[in-house]
Amino acid sequence: MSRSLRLLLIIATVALLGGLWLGLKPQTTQISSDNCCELRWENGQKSGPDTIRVTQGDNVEIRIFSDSDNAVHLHGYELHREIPAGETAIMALQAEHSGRFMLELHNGDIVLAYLEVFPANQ
Amino acid sequence: MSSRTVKAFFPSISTLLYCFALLLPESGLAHSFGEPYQLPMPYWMYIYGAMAALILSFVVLALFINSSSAPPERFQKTWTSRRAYQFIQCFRLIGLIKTLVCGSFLLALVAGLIGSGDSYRNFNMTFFWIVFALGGVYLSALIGDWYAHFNPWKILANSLPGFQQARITYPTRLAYWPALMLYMGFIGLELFGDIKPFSLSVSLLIFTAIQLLGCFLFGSKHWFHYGDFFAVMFRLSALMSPCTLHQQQIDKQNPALTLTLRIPFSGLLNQRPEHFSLLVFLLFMLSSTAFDGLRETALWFNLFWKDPFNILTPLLGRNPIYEYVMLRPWYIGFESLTLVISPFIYLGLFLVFLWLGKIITASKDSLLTLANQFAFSLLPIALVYHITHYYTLLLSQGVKIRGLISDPFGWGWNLFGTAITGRIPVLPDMGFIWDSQVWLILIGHVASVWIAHFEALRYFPSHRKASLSQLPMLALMVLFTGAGLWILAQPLQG
Repeated sequence: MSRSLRLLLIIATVALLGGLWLGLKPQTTQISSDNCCELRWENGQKSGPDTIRVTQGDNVEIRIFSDSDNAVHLHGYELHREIPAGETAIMALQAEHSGRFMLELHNGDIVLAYLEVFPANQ
Repeated sequence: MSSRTVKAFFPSISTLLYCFALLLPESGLAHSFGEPYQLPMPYWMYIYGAMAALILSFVVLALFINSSSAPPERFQKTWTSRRAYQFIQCFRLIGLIKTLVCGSFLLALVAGLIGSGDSYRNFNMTFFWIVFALGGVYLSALIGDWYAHFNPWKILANSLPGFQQARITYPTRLAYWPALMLYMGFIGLELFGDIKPFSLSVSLLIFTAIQLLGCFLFGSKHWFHYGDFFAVMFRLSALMSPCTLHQQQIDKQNPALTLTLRIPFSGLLNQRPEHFSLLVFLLFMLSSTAFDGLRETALWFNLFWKDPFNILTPLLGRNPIYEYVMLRPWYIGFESLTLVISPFIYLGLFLVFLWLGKIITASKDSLLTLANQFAFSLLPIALVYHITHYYTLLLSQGVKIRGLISDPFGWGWNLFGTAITGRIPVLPDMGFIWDSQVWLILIGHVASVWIAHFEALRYFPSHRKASLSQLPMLALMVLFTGAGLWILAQPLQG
């Protein structure tokens, strides 16, 4: 294959891949946001949503009740709240980082839920 | 010790770590440590990636359609410097790095035994799983086989009298099977072990005992070539590195340091697995990462717990999810079995597509010969699978090592003043992560197609046969690449 033909092939490939990218990429994606939710830890059982889905930039408030002394940690955001027995801790944040973050109850390493923050422009 | 005894003995010790993982009471459903924080890739990206893989495959084929293309080895550049060697000698850099690696492992061991039980506050979890096991692979793929010089177990064995000489000749048939079984144990421990700092230290002590026993029986040279799965994994990754650094003896008085720069992945050319077991090992590198990705998806979770094929429901009288506590050990058994057979599923696929190539080209060579010829061309796909799946852990958890050095035991120390700032993770934008995943997978795919095509041009007598032989291989690589992207696009269990 001649050099010019190779160059032409590479340019055509780059153009095709670029065109496909632009053609397939949606302009906006709507994510239904659950910006406020309550999670409960009672008698060794959890209740509430397994996944909290929000869009990047949203203000989120998560209320966590525990019937025993506990602590809750949101990985990635590195937010930590102590929960005295029988009380509700409030974790409020602006979802500035996109990704999937584990909300973990430290006594027993229980995964309470995942916070999924979707980028606004994908 | 007879050869038979040796063979009977090895499966038992090599499955030790794996059994240890299965026996742990709180085996969870996620990684033992560190959760990749990425979201499922948007579906359009998966479609794009699969289409791009197909297009790029044919472009690579067209570009390298004849063997007059310059061989990649021609673009290798080597520099030799006596001064660089003298600099290393002068500052005793090799010794310093060896001390640093061994000291870090010792600290990890002690921290696990006496430090905090919190996985995120104890130095040993982040050091072993993220810095060593993940970072080690990427460092090898970047600068070459660093582990061959700084293997802490090798340093230990070589410092002890009697561990370098073999007492038994390493049985040829044993080959890389011990390394493969230990590798399976390691992945089993990672996925099902629910490992905590203390149990990690105990596992490391068991692994050290296995390493020393291997050296004691077969001598350190043979053991660290065949039996130490880290050595095998890092060595395979190093074949893809764009540079290598080694000592060269110009003459007796003048040793020098040689740096070689080469096209990334070109080190895989002309490489052949010494034994069938090495082929299975590299396929396990591919399949274990794919399995790890798959088991995090809702699809995999529901396959067992929602019983879509109505297999368990009639036996239990109700949906398996209602019998979660009773069935969980069975689920872990099901996952363990899938993990163990996964490289053989990939091997079956590999052989089927090679057989198609053999039929098309009317090749008289055996399937095993063809498998050996093209085995290493799958390594780039294995590496990019690994990177796309785990690299965010280096950013989210790996950077915390800076803080953990200040407080290795998790006791609230702040030795170097980094204990707090070091805990903040680097969280790149999810859009960037998705883009990087697609492009990394495509780069790996192109590299695999490129390597396989060069191998074919050297192996088959005509260009036509070489190109024809690559059509099934191309289909296989598109299948592997598509599967990798598809897994990344699946909704996660939550």
